[in-house]
Amino acid sequence: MSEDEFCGTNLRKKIKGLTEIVPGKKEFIRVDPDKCNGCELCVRFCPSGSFEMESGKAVWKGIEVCLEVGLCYHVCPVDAIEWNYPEGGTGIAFKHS
Amino acid sequence: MAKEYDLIVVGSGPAGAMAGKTAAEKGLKVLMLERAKSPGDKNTSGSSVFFLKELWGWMREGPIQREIWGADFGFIFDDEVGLVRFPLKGRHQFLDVYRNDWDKWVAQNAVEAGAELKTSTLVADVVKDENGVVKGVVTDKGERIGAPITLGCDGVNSIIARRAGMRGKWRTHEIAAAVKYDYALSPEKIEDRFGGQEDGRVCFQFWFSPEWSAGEGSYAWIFPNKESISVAIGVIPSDIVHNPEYYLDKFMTHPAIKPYLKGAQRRNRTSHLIPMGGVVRPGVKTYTDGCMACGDAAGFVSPVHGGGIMGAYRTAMLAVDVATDAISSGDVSASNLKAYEDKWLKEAEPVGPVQGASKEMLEFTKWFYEEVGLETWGRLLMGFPKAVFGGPLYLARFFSAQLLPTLPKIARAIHWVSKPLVDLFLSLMPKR
Repeated sequence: MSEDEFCGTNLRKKIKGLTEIVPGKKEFIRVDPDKCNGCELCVRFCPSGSFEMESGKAVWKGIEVCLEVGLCYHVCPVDAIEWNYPEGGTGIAFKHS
Repeated sequence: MAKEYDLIVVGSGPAGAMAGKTAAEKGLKVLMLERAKSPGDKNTSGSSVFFLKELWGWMREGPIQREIWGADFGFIFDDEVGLVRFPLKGRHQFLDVYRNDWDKWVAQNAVEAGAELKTSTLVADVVKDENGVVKGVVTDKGERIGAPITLGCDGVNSIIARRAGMRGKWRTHEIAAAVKYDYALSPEKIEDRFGGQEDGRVCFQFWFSPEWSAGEGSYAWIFPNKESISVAIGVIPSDIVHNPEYYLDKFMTHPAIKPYLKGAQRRNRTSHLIPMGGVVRPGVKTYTDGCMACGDAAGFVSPVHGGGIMGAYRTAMLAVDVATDAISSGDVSASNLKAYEDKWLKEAEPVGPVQGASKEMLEFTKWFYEEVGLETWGRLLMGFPKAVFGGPLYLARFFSAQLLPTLPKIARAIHWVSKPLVDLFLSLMPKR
Protein backbone atom coordinates (compact mmCIF):
# COMPACT_ATOMS: atom_id res chain seq x y z
CA MET A 1 0.00 0.00 0.00
CA SER A 2 2.94 2.30 0.66
CA GLU A 3 3.85 1.99 -3.03
CA ASP A 4 0.55 3.68 -3.96
CA GLU A 5 1.22 6.88 -5.91
CA PHE A 6 -1.37 8.70 -3.79
CA CYS A 7 0.18 8.20 -0.36
CA GLY A 8 3.31 8.59 1.72
CA THR A 9 6.50 9.79 0.01
CA ASN A 10 4.96 9.52 -3.47
CA LEU A 11 2.20 11.92 -2.50
CA ARG A 12 4.73 14.27 -0.91
CA LYS A 13 6.62 14.44 -4.21
CA LYS A 14 3.42 14.95 -6.18
CA ILE A 15 2.28 17.93 -4.13
CA LYS A 16 5.71 19.46 -3.51
CA GLY A 17 5.74 23.24 -3.83
CA LEU A 18 1.95 23.57 -3.73
CA THR A 19 1.75 24.82 -0.14
CA GLU A 20 3.52 27.59 1.74
CA ILE A 21 4.87 26.33 5.04
CA VAL A 22 6.98 28.02 7.70
CA PRO A 23 8.41 25.01 9.55
CA GLY A 24 8.60 25.38 13.31
CA LYS A 25 11.42 23.99 15.41
CA LYS A 26 9.41 21.48 17.39
CA GLU A 27 7.91 18.28 15.98
CA PHE A 28 4.27 18.65 16.96
CA ILE A 29 2.94 15.22 15.96
CA ARG A 30 4.41 11.98 17.24
CA VAL A 31 3.54 8.32 16.85
CA ASP A 32 3.94 6.33 20.05
CA PRO A 33 5.87 3.23 18.86
CA ASP A 34 4.64 1.21 21.84
CA LYS A 35 1.00 1.80 20.90
CA CYS A 36 1.35 1.68 17.06
CA ASN A 37 0.02 -1.61 15.67
CA GLY A 38 1.47 -1.06 12.19
CA CYS A 39 -1.92 -0.87 10.42
CA GLU A 40 -0.62 1.89 8.07
CA LEU A 41 -3.95 3.77 8.04
CA CYS A 42 -2.18 7.08 8.77
CA VAL A 43 0.32 6.39 5.98
CA ARG A 44 -2.48 5.59 3.58
CA PHE A 45 -4.84 8.47 4.41
CA CYS A 46 -2.65 11.45 5.39
CA PRO A 47 -3.48 14.17 2.79
CA SER A 48 0.10 15.46 2.90
CA GLY A 49 1.83 12.05 2.92
CA SER A 50 3.52 12.89 6.22
CA PHE A 51 3.80 9.34 7.55
CA GLU A 52 6.19 6.55 6.61
CA MET A 53 6.67 3.02 7.86
CA GLU A 54 9.94 2.22 9.57
CA SER A 55 10.47 -1.32 10.87
CA GLY A 56 6.77 -2.02 11.09
CA LYS A 57 5.83 1.23 12.87
CA ALA A 58 4.48 4.51 11.48
CA VAL A 59 6.77 7.52 11.81
CA TRP A 60 5.77 11.17 11.31
CA LYS A 61 7.94 13.10 8.83
CA GLY A 62 5.70 16.09 8.29
CA ILE A 63 7.47 19.12 9.71
CA GLU A 64 7.83 20.65 6.22
CA VAL A 65 4.67 19.32 4.60
CA CYS A 66 1.98 18.85 7.28
CA LEU A 67 -1.34 20.50 6.36
CA GLU A 68 -2.64 20.38 9.96
CA VAL A 69 -5.72 18.39 8.91
CA GLY A 70 -6.10 16.01 11.86
CA LEU A 71 -7.20 13.01 9.79
CA CYS A 72 -4.32 10.84 11.16
CA TYR A 73 -5.35 10.78 14.81
CA HIS A 74 -9.01 10.34 13.88
CA VAL A 75 -8.35 7.20 11.81
CA CYS A 76 -5.78 5.69 14.19
CA PRO A 77 -7.57 2.68 15.75
CA VAL A 78 -5.25 2.50 18.78
CA ASP A 79 -4.87 6.24 19.54
CA ALA A 80 -1.11 6.01 19.03
CA ILE A 81 -0.83 9.50 17.49
CA GLU A 82 -0.09 12.36 19.87
CA TRP A 83 -1.51 15.18 17.80
CA ASN A 84 -1.13 18.89 18.23
CA TYR A 85 -0.96 22.04 16.17
CA PRO A 86 2.45 23.54 15.37
CA GLU A 87 3.54 26.35 17.70
CA GLY A 88 1.93 29.75 17.18
CA GLY A 89 3.01 31.60 14.03
CA THR A 90 4.47 28.51 12.29
CA GLY A 91 3.14 25.84 9.93
CA ILE A 92 0.98 26.38 6.89
CA ALA A 93 -0.05 29.83 5.69
CA PHE A 94 -2.43 29.29 2.82
CA LYS A 95 -2.74 31.68 -0.11
CA HIS A 96 -5.52 31.60 -2.70
CA SER A 97 -7.66 29.52 -0.44
CA MET B 1 -6.43 33.70 38.52
CA ALA B 2 -7.11 37.37 38.16
CA LYS B 3 -9.84 38.39 35.80
CA GLU B 4 -8.22 40.14 32.86
CA TYR B 5 -10.92 39.94 30.22
CA ASP B 6 -14.67 39.39 30.21
CA LEU B 7 -14.39 36.89 27.40
CA ILE B 8 -11.58 34.88 25.79
CA VAL B 9 -12.27 33.73 22.25
CA VAL B 10 -9.95 30.99 21.03
CA GLY B 11 -9.64 31.25 17.26
CA SER B 12 -10.41 34.04 14.81
CA GLY B 13 -12.08 32.13 12.00
CA PRO B 14 -15.78 32.64 11.22
CA ALA B 15 -16.93 31.72 14.75
CA GLY B 16 -14.10 33.49 16.60
CA ALA B 17 -14.13 36.71 14.61
CA MET B 18 -17.93 36.97 14.79
CA ALA B 19 -17.83 36.27 18.55
CA GLY B 20 -15.15 38.96 18.97
CA LYS B 21 -17.11 41.46 16.92
CA THR B 22 -20.44 40.78 18.63
CA ALA B 23 -18.90 40.84 22.11
CA ALA B 24 -17.02 44.10 21.47
CA GLU B 25 -20.20 45.70 20.16
CA LYS B 26 -21.94 44.67 23.37
CA GLY B 27 -19.20 46.40 25.35
CA LEU B 28 -17.40 43.31 26.65
CA LYS B 29 -13.64 43.33 27.10
CA VAL B 30 -12.81 40.54 24.66
CA LEU B 31 -9.55 38.88 23.56
CA MET B 32 -9.26 36.79 20.39
CA LEU B 33 -6.36 34.34 20.27
CA GLU B 34 -5.16 33.19 16.83
CA ARG B 35 -2.43 30.59 16.26
CA ALA B 36 -1.57 31.84 12.76
CA LYS B 37 0.46 34.97 12.03
CA SER B 38 -2.66 36.54 10.65
CA PRO B 39 -6.36 35.52 10.74
CA GLY B 40 -7.34 33.49 7.68
CA ASP B 41 -3.87 32.00 7.10
CA LYS B 42 -5.05 28.55 8.19
CA ASN B 43 -8.46 28.65 6.56
CA THR B 44 -8.90 26.65 3.45
CA SER B 45 -12.45 26.21 2.28
CA GLY B 46 -12.11 28.69 -0.52
CA SER B 47 -15.30 28.85 -0.54
CA SER B 48 -18.91 29.58 -0.86
CA VAL B 49 -20.52 31.49 1.94
CA PHE B 50 -24.19 30.98 2.57
CA PHE B 51 -25.67 34.02 4.24
CA LEU B 52 -28.04 34.64 7.04
CA LYS B 53 -30.53 37.25 5.85
CA GLU B 54 -29.71 39.55 8.78
CA LEU B 55 -26.03 39.72 7.75
CA TRP B 56 -26.59 40.13 4.02
CA GLY B 57 -26.07 43.90 3.87
CA TRP B 58 -22.92 43.94 5.97
CA MET B 59 -21.32 40.96 4.22
CA ARG B 60 -21.66 42.42 0.74
CA GLU B 61 -19.07 45.01 1.80
CA GLY B 62 -16.49 42.23 2.28
CA PRO B 63 -13.81 40.94 -0.14
CA ILE B 64 -16.12 39.02 -2.47
CA GLN B 65 -14.78 36.97 -5.37
CA ARG B 66 -18.06 36.37 -7.20
CA GLU B 67 -21.76 36.30 -6.60
CA ILE B 68 -23.54 33.03 -7.27
CA TRP B 69 -26.84 32.99 -9.15
CA GLY B 70 -27.34 29.27 -9.63
CA ALA B 71 -26.30 25.81 -8.57
CA ASP B 72 -25.36 23.01 -10.97
CA PHE B 73 -25.99 19.50 -9.70
CA GLY B 74 -24.04 16.93 -11.69
CA PHE B 75 -24.35 13.16 -11.63
CA ILE B 76 -21.75 10.81 -13.06
CA PHE B 77 -22.63 7.18 -13.66
CA ASP B 78 -20.53 4.60 -15.50
CA ASP B 79 -22.23 5.20 -18.84
CA GLU B 80 -23.70 8.67 -18.62
CA VAL B 81 -23.44 12.14 -17.17
CA GLY B 82 -26.26 14.51 -16.20
CA LEU B 83 -26.16 18.13 -15.12
CA VAL B 84 -29.17 20.04 -13.79
CA ARG B 85 -29.02 23.80 -13.25
CA PHE B 86 -31.09 25.54 -10.56
CA PRO B 87 -31.39 29.33 -10.53
CA LEU B 88 -31.33 30.47 -6.90
CA LYS B 89 -33.77 33.36 -7.54
CA GLY B 90 -33.06 35.00 -4.20
CA ARG B 91 -34.17 31.99 -2.16
CA HIS B 92 -30.64 31.59 -0.89
CA GLN B 93 -27.74 34.01 -0.99
CA PHE B 94 -24.33 32.61 -1.81
CA LEU B 95 -21.04 34.37 -2.42
CA ASP B 96 -17.71 32.91 -3.43
CA VAL B 97 -14.85 34.24 -1.32
CA TYR B 98 -11.26 33.41 -0.50
CA ARG B 99 -11.26 32.58 3.18
CA ASN B 100 -7.76 34.04 3.60
CA ASP B 101 -9.12 37.46 2.61
CA TRP B 102 -12.57 36.99 4.08
CA ASP B 103 -11.59 35.84 7.58
CA LYS B 104 -9.02 38.64 7.76
CA TRP B 105 -11.75 41.14 6.92
CA VAL B 106 -14.18 39.81 9.54
CA ALA B 107 -11.43 39.76 12.19
CA GLN B 108 -10.53 43.33 11.21
CA ASN B 109 -14.19 44.25 11.76
CA ALA B 110 -13.95 42.74 15.23
CA VAL B 111 -10.81 44.71 16.02
CA GLU B 112 -12.42 47.92 14.76
CA ALA B 113 -15.38 47.19 17.06
CA GLY B 114 -12.96 47.09 19.99
CA ALA B 115 -11.88 43.45 20.31
CA GLU B 116 -8.25 42.72 21.09
CA LEU B 117 -6.47 40.29 18.73
CA LYS B 118 -3.35 38.34 19.68
CA THR B 119 -1.82 36.39 16.79
CA SER B 120 0.91 33.69 16.56
CA THR B 121 -0.51 32.34 19.82
CA LEU B 122 -1.48 28.70 20.14
CA VAL B 123 -3.70 27.82 23.07
CA ALA B 124 -2.33 24.65 24.63
CA ASP B 125 -4.93 23.98 27.29
CA VAL B 126 -7.77 25.38 29.35
CA VAL B 127 -7.19 26.39 32.98
CA LYS B 128 -9.68 24.92 35.46
CA ASP B 129 -10.21 25.65 39.14
CA GLU B 130 -10.53 22.94 41.82
CA ASN B 131 -14.22 22.48 40.92
CA GLY B 132 -13.47 21.91 37.24
CA VAL B 133 -14.78 25.32 36.16
CA VAL B 134 -12.92 26.76 33.15
CA LYS B 135 -11.21 29.97 34.28
CA GLY B 136 -9.16 30.80 31.20
CA VAL B 137 -6.48 29.38 28.95
CA VAL B 138 -2.77 28.73 28.85
CA THR B 139 -0.78 29.39 25.66
CA ASP B 140 2.03 27.29 24.17
CA LYS B 141 4.50 29.78 25.62
CA GLY B 142 3.10 29.14 29.09
CA GLU B 143 1.21 32.42 29.43
CA ARG B 144 -1.99 32.17 31.48
CA ILE B 145 -4.93 34.40 30.58
CA GLY B 146 -8.07 34.58 32.69
CA ALA B 147 -11.72 35.38 31.98
CA PRO B 148 -15.06 34.25 33.42
CA ILE B 149 -16.02 32.71 30.06
CA THR B 150 -13.93 31.07 27.34
CA LEU B 151 -15.36 30.41 23.88
CA GLY B 152 -13.85 27.53 21.91
CA CYS B 153 -13.96 28.74 18.31
CA ASP B 154 -10.93 26.69 17.33
CA GLY B 155 -12.37 24.53 14.61
CA VAL B 156 -12.91 20.85 13.92
CA ASN B 157 -9.81 19.76 15.89
CA SER B 158 -10.80 22.03 18.80
CA ILE B 159 -8.37 21.88 21.69
CA ILE B 160 -10.81 23.78 23.92
CA ALA B 161 -13.78 21.45 23.31
CA ARG B 162 -11.64 18.39 24.00
CA ARG B 163 -9.68 19.74 26.97
CA ALA B 164 -12.77 21.22 28.60
CA GLY B 165 -14.38 17.79 28.34
CA MET B 166 -17.17 18.70 25.93
CA ARG B 167 -16.29 15.93 23.49
CA GLY B 168 -13.63 13.40 22.50
CA LYS B 169 -12.23 13.01 19.01
CA TRP B 170 -14.85 12.57 16.27
CA ARG B 171 -15.74 9.06 15.15
CA THR B 172 -14.59 8.30 11.60
CA HIS B 173 -18.11 8.40 10.15
CA GLU B 174 -18.71 11.82 11.75
CA ILE B 175 -16.11 13.68 9.71
CA ALA B 176 -15.30 14.26 6.06
CA ALA B 177 -11.77 14.78 4.80
CA ALA B 178 -11.71 17.43 2.09
CA VAL B 179 -8.87 18.01 -0.36
CA LYS B 180 -8.87 21.03 -2.64
CA TYR B 181 -6.85 22.41 -5.55
CA ASP B 182 -6.86 26.04 -6.60
CA TYR B 183 -6.53 26.71 -10.34
CA ALA B 184 -5.90 30.05 -12.01
CA LEU B 185 -8.26 30.51 -14.96
CA SER B 186 -9.18 33.55 -17.02
CA PRO B 187 -12.45 35.32 -16.08
CA GLU B 188 -13.77 34.87 -19.64
CA LYS B 189 -13.28 31.11 -19.47
CA ILE B 190 -14.87 30.96 -16.03
CA GLU B 191 -17.93 32.86 -17.23
CA ASP B 192 -18.10 30.71 -20.34
CA ARG B 193 -17.95 27.44 -18.41
CA PHE B 194 -19.99 28.28 -15.30
CA GLY B 195 -23.07 30.05 -16.64
CA GLY B 196 -21.65 33.58 -16.47
CA GLN B 197 -24.07 36.50 -16.59
CA GLU B 198 -23.33 40.00 -17.85
CA ASP B 199 -22.71 41.19 -14.30
CA GLY B 200 -20.15 38.42 -13.74
CA ARG B 201 -22.35 36.22 -11.59
CA VAL B 202 -21.80 32.48 -12.08
CA CYS B 203 -23.06 29.05 -10.99
CA PHE B 204 -21.23 26.73 -8.63
CA GLN B 205 -21.16 23.01 -9.22
CA PHE B 206 -21.78 19.96 -7.04
CA TRP B 207 -20.98 16.52 -8.41
CA PHE B 208 -22.33 13.24 -7.13
CA SER B 209 -21.18 9.84 -8.33
CA PRO B 210 -20.85 6.25 -7.18
CA GLU B 211 -17.79 6.00 -9.42
CA TRP B 212 -15.34 8.15 -7.50
CA SER B 213 -17.24 8.99 -4.36
CA ALA B 214 -16.57 6.93 -1.29
CA GLY B 215 -19.73 6.53 0.76
CA GLU B 216 -22.94 8.40 0.08
CA GLY B 217 -22.00 11.33 2.29
CA SER B 218 -19.31 12.27 -0.17
CA TYR B 219 -19.45 14.77 -3.02
CA ALA B 220 -17.16 16.94 -5.14
CA TRP B 221 -17.49 20.62 -5.97
CA ILE B 222 -16.14 23.37 -8.20
CA PHE B 223 -16.43 26.95 -6.94
CA PRO B 224 -15.65 29.67 -9.50
CA ASN B 225 -13.80 32.71 -8.15
CA LYS B 226 -12.84 35.91 -9.97
CA GLU B 227 -9.77 34.59 -11.79
CA SER B 228 -9.54 31.08 -10.41
CA ILE B 229 -11.57 28.00 -9.54
CA SER B 230 -11.53 25.79 -6.44
CA VAL B 231 -11.88 22.07 -7.17
CA ALA B 232 -12.44 19.83 -4.18
CA ILE B 233 -13.84 16.59 -2.88
CA GLY B 234 -14.96 15.49 0.56
CA VAL B 235 -14.75 11.83 1.53
CA ILE B 236 -15.83 9.99 4.68
CA PRO B 237 -12.87 8.28 6.40
CA SER B 238 -14.94 5.28 7.53
CA ASP B 239 -15.82 4.53 3.89
CA ILE B 240 -12.56 5.12 2.02
CA VAL B 241 -9.82 2.66 1.10
CA HIS B 242 -7.43 5.12 -0.57
CA ASN B 243 -5.99 8.54 0.21
CA PRO B 244 -8.52 11.39 -0.33
CA GLU B 245 -6.19 12.57 -3.12
CA TYR B 246 -7.00 9.39 -5.07
CA TYR B 247 -10.71 10.28 -5.19
CA LEU B 248 -10.04 13.90 -6.12
CA ASP B 249 -7.71 12.75 -8.90
CA LYS B 250 -10.45 10.41 -10.19
CA PHE B 251 -12.86 13.32 -10.20
CA MET B 252 -10.54 15.81 -11.90
CA THR B 253 -9.44 13.35 -14.61
CA HIS B 254 -12.99 12.21 -15.45
CA PRO B 255 -13.86 13.01 -19.10
CA ALA B 256 -16.94 14.96 -17.93
CA ILE B 257 -14.88 17.20 -15.62
CA LYS B 258 -11.73 17.75 -17.71
CA PRO B 259 -13.33 20.38 -20.01
CA TYR B 260 -14.02 22.63 -16.98
CA LEU B 261 -10.33 22.53 -16.01
CA LYS B 262 -8.85 22.87 -19.51
CA GLY B 263 -6.12 25.52 -19.65
CA ALA B 264 -6.29 26.11 -15.89
CA GLN B 265 -3.03 26.54 -13.96
CA ARG B 266 -2.68 24.63 -10.70
CA ARG B 267 -1.57 26.97 -7.90
CA ASN B 268 -1.99 25.24 -4.59
CA ARG B 269 -3.46 22.37 -2.64
CA THR B 270 -5.14 22.41 0.74
CA SER B 271 -6.89 19.94 2.98
CA HIS B 272 -9.20 20.10 5.96
CA LEU B 273 -11.62 18.09 8.07
CA ILE B 274 -15.34 18.85 8.18
CA PRO B 275 -17.54 17.64 11.05
CA MET B 276 -20.57 15.98 9.41
CA GLY B 277 -23.99 14.87 10.43
CA GLY B 278 -25.68 17.74 12.20
CA VAL B 279 -25.25 18.99 15.72
CA VAL B 280 -27.34 16.82 17.99
CA ARG B 281 -25.22 13.74 18.60
CA PRO B 282 -24.41 11.45 21.47
CA GLY B 283 -21.37 12.39 23.50
CA VAL B 284 -21.04 15.98 22.28
CA LYS B 285 -21.79 18.91 24.57
CA THR B 286 -21.63 22.53 23.45
CA TYR B 287 -21.21 24.06 26.91
CA THR B 288 -19.67 23.33 30.27
CA ASP B 289 -18.80 25.35 33.38
CA GLY B 290 -17.28 28.64 32.17
CA CYS B 291 -16.93 27.53 28.57
CA MET B 292 -18.90 27.14 25.32
CA ALA B 293 -17.96 25.84 21.86
CA CYS B 294 -19.08 27.44 18.59
CA GLY B 295 -18.88 26.52 14.91
CA ASP B 296 -16.88 23.49 13.78
CA ALA B 297 -15.48 23.03 17.30
CA ALA B 298 -18.89 21.74 18.38
CA GLY B 299 -19.85 20.29 14.99
CA PHE B 300 -22.23 23.02 13.85
CA VAL B 301 -22.39 22.31 10.14
CA SER B 302 -25.43 21.96 7.96
CA PRO B 303 -26.61 18.35 7.95
CA VAL B 304 -27.83 19.00 4.40
CA HIS B 305 -24.69 20.19 2.61
CA GLY B 306 -21.92 20.17 5.20
CA GLY B 307 -21.37 23.94 5.02
CA GLY B 308 -20.24 25.37 8.36
CA ILE B 309 -19.51 29.08 7.94
CA MET B 310 -23.04 30.28 8.61
CA GLY B 311 -23.48 27.87 11.51
CA ALA B 312 -20.28 29.31 12.96
CA TYR B 313 -21.48 32.92 12.64
CA ARG B 314 -24.88 32.14 14.10
CA THR B 315 -23.68 30.06 17.06
CA ALA B 316 -20.99 32.65 17.87
CA MET B 317 -23.70 35.33 18.08
CA LEU B 318 -25.90 33.10 20.28
CA ALA B 319 -22.98 32.18 22.57
CA VAL B 320 -22.03 35.84 23.05
CA ASP B 321 -25.67 36.66 23.93
CA VAL B 322 -25.64 33.95 26.58
CA ALA B 323 -22.14 34.94 27.77
CA THR B 324 -23.17 38.59 28.19
CA ASP B 325 -26.13 37.63 30.39
CA ALA B 326 -24.06 35.11 32.37
CA ILE B 327 -21.24 37.59 33.00
CA SER B 328 -23.60 40.34 34.18
CA SER B 329 -25.44 37.89 36.48
CA GLY B 330 -22.11 36.52 37.77
CA ASP B 331 -23.22 32.91 37.23
CA VAL B 332 -21.16 31.14 34.55
CA SER B 333 -22.01 27.60 35.64
CA ALA B 334 -23.10 24.98 33.10
CA SER B 335 -26.69 25.16 34.37
CA ASN B 336 -26.79 28.84 33.42
CA LEU B 337 -24.93 28.39 30.11
CA LYS B 338 -27.47 25.74 29.08
CA ALA B 339 -29.38 28.73 27.67
CA TYR B 340 -26.96 28.45 24.71
CA GLU B 341 -28.19 24.96 23.87
CA ASP B 342 -31.80 26.05 24.33
CA LYS B 343 -31.16 28.82 21.80
CA TRP B 344 -29.43 26.83 19.05
CA LEU B 345 -31.93 23.98 19.36
CA LYS B 346 -34.59 26.44 18.22
CA GLU B 347 -32.55 27.54 15.18
CA ALA B 348 -33.34 26.39 11.65
CA GLU B 349 -30.81 24.79 9.29
CA PRO B 350 -27.87 25.43 8.85
CA VAL B 351 -27.51 25.77 12.61
CA GLY B 352 -30.30 23.77 14.13
CA PRO B 353 -30.80 20.06 14.47
CA VAL B 354 -32.50 17.44 12.32
CA GLN B 355 -35.93 19.03 12.09
CA GLY B 356 -34.32 22.08 10.51
CA ALA B 357 -32.67 19.83 7.95
CA SER B 358 -35.95 18.10 7.11
CA LYS B 359 -37.57 21.46 6.48
CA GLU B 360 -34.69 22.42 4.20
CA MET B 361 -35.05 19.13 2.33
CA LEU B 362 -38.76 19.67 1.79
CA GLU B 363 -38.02 23.14 0.42
CA PHE B 364 -35.37 21.66 -1.83
CA THR B 365 -37.80 19.07 -3.22
CA LYS B 366 -40.39 21.74 -3.90
CA TRP B 367 -37.73 23.91 -5.50
CA PHE B 368 -36.55 20.99 -7.68
CA TYR B 369 -40.09 20.53 -9.00
CA GLU B 370 -40.74 24.25 -9.55
CA GLU B 371 -37.44 25.02 -11.19
CA VAL B 372 -37.01 22.10 -13.51
CA GLY B 373 -40.51 22.32 -14.96
CA LEU B 374 -42.20 19.79 -17.20
CA GLU B 375 -40.33 20.64 -20.39
CA THR B 376 -36.83 20.40 -18.93
CA TRP B 377 -37.83 17.34 -17.01
CA GLY B 378 -38.98 15.67 -20.22
CA ARG B 379 -35.78 16.64 -22.04
CA LEU B 380 -33.65 15.31 -19.22
CA LEU B 381 -35.79 12.21 -19.10
CA MET B 382 -35.07 11.44 -22.75
CA GLY B 383 -31.45 12.44 -22.38
CA PHE B 384 -30.12 10.82 -19.27
CA PRO B 385 -32.56 8.37 -17.68
CA LYS B 386 -30.12 7.01 -15.15
CA ALA B 387 -28.81 10.38 -14.13
CA VAL B 388 -32.28 11.84 -13.78
CA PHE B 389 -33.75 8.98 -11.78
CA GLY B 390 -30.54 7.84 -10.18
CA GLY B 391 -29.47 11.39 -9.34
CA PRO B 392 -32.30 12.20 -6.93
CA LEU B 393 -32.05 8.69 -5.48
CA TYR B 394 -28.40 9.28 -4.93
CA LEU B 395 -29.13 12.69 -3.41
CA ALA B 396 -31.66 11.09 -1.07
CA ARG B 397 -29.04 8.63 0.13
CA PHE B 398 -26.55 11.47 0.39
CA PHE B 399 -28.86 13.50 2.62
CA SER B 400 -29.75 10.54 4.81
CA ALA B 401 -26.03 9.78 5.16
CA GLN B 402 -25.50 13.30 6.52
CA LEU B 403 -27.96 12.56 9.26
CA LEU B 404 -26.61 9.10 10.07
CA PRO B 405 -24.60 10.00 13.18
CA THR B 406 -27.67 11.48 14.80
CA LEU B 407 -30.06 8.64 13.92
CA PRO B 408 -30.91 5.66 16.08
CA LYS B 409 -29.48 2.24 15.12
CA ILE B 410 -32.66 1.07 13.40
CA ALA B 411 -32.64 4.02 10.99
CA ARG B 412 -28.97 3.42 10.24
CA ALA B 413 -29.76 -0.21 9.44
CA ILE B 414 -32.47 0.89 6.99
CA HIS B 415 -29.98 3.24 5.31
CA TRP B 416 -27.46 0.48 4.73
CA VAL B 417 -30.09 -2.07 3.64
CA SER B 418 -31.35 0.42 1.06
CA LYS B 419 -27.95 0.53 -0.67
CA PRO B 420 -28.33 -2.72 -2.65
CA LEU B 421 -31.86 -1.61 -3.59
CA VAL B 422 -30.51 1.64 -5.01
CA ASP B 423 -27.83 -0.30 -6.89
CA LEU B 424 -30.45 -2.70 -8.25
CA PHE B 425 -32.64 0.16 -9.42
CA LEU B 426 -29.71 1.81 -11.18
CA SER B 427 -28.71 -1.43 -12.90
CA LEU B 428 -32.27 -1.88 -14.22
CA MET B 429 -32.38 1.63 -15.70
CA PRO B 430 -32.19 1.68 -19.50
CA LYS B 431 -28.89 2.87 -20.96
CA ARG B 432 -28.77 6.02 -22.98
